[in-house]
Amino acid sequence: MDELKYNFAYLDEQTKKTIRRAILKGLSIPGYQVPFSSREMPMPYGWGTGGIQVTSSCIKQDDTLKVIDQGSDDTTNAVSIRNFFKRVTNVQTTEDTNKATIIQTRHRIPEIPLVEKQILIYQVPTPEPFRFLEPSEFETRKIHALKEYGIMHLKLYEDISKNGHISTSYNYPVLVDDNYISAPSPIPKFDNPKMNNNPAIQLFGAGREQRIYAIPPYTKVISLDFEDYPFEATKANAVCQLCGATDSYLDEIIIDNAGGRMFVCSDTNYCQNNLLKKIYNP
Amino acid sequence: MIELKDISKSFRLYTQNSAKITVFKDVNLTVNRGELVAFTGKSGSGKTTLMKMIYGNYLPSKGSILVDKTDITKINLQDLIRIRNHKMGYISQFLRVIPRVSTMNIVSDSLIKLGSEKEDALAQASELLNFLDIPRKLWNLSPLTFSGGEQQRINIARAMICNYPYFLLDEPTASLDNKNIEKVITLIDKLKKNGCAIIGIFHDEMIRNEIADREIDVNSFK
Amino acid sequence: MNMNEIIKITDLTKSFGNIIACSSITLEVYPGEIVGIVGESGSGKTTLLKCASGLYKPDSGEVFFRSDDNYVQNICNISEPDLRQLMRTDWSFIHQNPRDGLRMNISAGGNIGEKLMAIGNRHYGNIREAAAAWLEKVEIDSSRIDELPSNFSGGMQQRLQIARCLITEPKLIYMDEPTGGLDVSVQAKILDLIKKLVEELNIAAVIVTHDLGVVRLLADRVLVMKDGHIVEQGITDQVLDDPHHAYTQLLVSSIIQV
Repeated sequence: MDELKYNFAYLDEQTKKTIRRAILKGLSIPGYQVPFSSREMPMPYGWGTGGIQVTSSCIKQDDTLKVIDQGSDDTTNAVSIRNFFKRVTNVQTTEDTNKATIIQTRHRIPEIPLVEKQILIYQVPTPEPFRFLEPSEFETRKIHALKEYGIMHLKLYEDISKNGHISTSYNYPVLVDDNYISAPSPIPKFDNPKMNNNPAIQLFGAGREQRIYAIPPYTKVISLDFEDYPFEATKANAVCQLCGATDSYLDEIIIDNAGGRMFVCSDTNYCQNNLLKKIYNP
Repeated sequence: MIELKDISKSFRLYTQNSAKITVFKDVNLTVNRGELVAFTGKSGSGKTTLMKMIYGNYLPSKGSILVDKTDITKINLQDLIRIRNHKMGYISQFLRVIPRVSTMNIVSDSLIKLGSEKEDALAQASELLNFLDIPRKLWNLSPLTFSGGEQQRINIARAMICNYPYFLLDEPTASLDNKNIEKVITLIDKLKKNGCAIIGIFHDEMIRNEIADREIDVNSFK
Repeated sequence: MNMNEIIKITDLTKSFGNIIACSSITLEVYPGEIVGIVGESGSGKTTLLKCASGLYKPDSGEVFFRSDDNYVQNICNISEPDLRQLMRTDWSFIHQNPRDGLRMNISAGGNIGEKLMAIGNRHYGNIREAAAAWLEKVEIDSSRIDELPSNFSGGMQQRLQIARCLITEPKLIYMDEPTGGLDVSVQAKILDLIKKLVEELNIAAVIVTHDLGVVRLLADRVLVMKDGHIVEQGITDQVLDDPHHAYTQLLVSSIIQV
């Protein structure tokens, strides 16, 4: 194996320093998108190159890494990234949310509440919450600088007028620290309340878009809404058919060719813990 | 009271070799409340020009025009607009309105503009249109397609619905039949009784004899 | 500073390279009046309008604007957030092409309600109610509140733009050829609407047009511009009936009679 030819965590130390500077700036201005010079990574854009660079810059020898994709520890994306870091850092990896010190995630926040000293690193495809409303970067920066945030409510207005309720169900815009409107990355809106006042550090990396932003521990994060159409953290109205959990976000899985389907926890680690509990404490 | 003091007026026509045409010299004239002064003189003698000067439409080259002691040639435009809107009714031969606005709205808007309640304005407009024999079925149509006589009566209605202290009438009866002329004369009489000062141009000598207190031949101002 | 005018422009000059678009322009606009600016293409009308509305920064001169609370600001040197705030609340710009003033991928109701949300209204029901009321005000059936502007005719789009601009009841509206691209019958309805709303809301309006007919019907006062200068101004009837400047006489004598 050629692992030793790479620097620890793949990136060179100078690059990691610049990324750490961007992270520190992001933490000092919660929600603000800090530009950084994203590097080519040995995998395509869209595979979490932003999150990987942030993880590379934060990870130390004594860290324990967990990688999830849509809540799951064992999908291709999660496995590949976990293996990548195993090769280039040799740190311990885990599937257990409680044991992890760094959790890199795509599209979910773990069900088990995070604690201080944990870092949650999001992979972000589109860091700019206004991108689909305003294509010009020049204009979106102005929107943030001047806090001209009315048009985000315009999007929610359109949702209600078309569907009778706010139908945006993932990447639901949040107001961070009463200041910046940010994209939570495509997590389901069920997870939005977990961002608020979270004891862990939340870091966001967008590789292709070359942006890093952050939410420091215990920061106010509010999901936007209308007075008469308040924000709702919705999930499928069902229970997990494996572990019986009623409080977790569910995936609907097609299980046979006859169209049979079942609901299961999207957070595999959470589901497994529930099952183990049932086995040992029936 | 309207007073003209030493008014002169000339036009310079830049599109026609900058020709200068002098129309009046040293006009002096006073019109009192409750009085109707008729301008006479052949076509082109300047009756309308003189009237338009009193309305602030043409600027005199020299002299002053006092309306209630205010010299309208010296005041700023906002004050002039205010005087026009609140004190002076001007009725020309021609009806000038925004297309597709209904007759009823045109007539009642004059009152609403001065602060009347809408229902009140509509009621007064109906009464006046009735009096002037405009068929009810036309009230919701734009007057632009009406006959000349009807247009002229609507022009009269939209001005006379307001109780201005001053009226300037430029041939308001030119295309009316005798029955309607009588009605307009009734309206003018009423204005005079209310203390209105009126300056009018009427080609019809019979009308002048009936309502004019004084006749002034504008040729005497040349 | 005390002033009665809603906007006061003093000695404003703006050039683009060697071309002087506006030269020493002085103009005051009072609440409740409609001021027309006429002149041929390239005479500086639109530049003046854009300087007055903060879209261009003049080379020299001042533009004073008086807000509701009689607070006077020189919009040539206020900060951009303050300027944008004024643009959202105190004045509006109605474009010739409604597509420049509307969001074409947003429903009619959203277009009208956007300014309310921008100034902090967070009650969906109230926003929608206000949007529906304004649709009726500009004579569009409120049942079409959820349709996209592209479903509407040009004249309806222009009325939609007017509703979008006026919902926050600005004190002043700027209009650049608001009836420019419309057929004459639609033009008439828009003119009537503008006149009514200006009277009803007692707002001031500055309208740029090359159509003397529009000015005659709409404007209380008119300014004639040529080569960046105001060559003549006065009450509309007076300027059009008794033009004193050679250029105005040419303009008036060039009207095609129907």
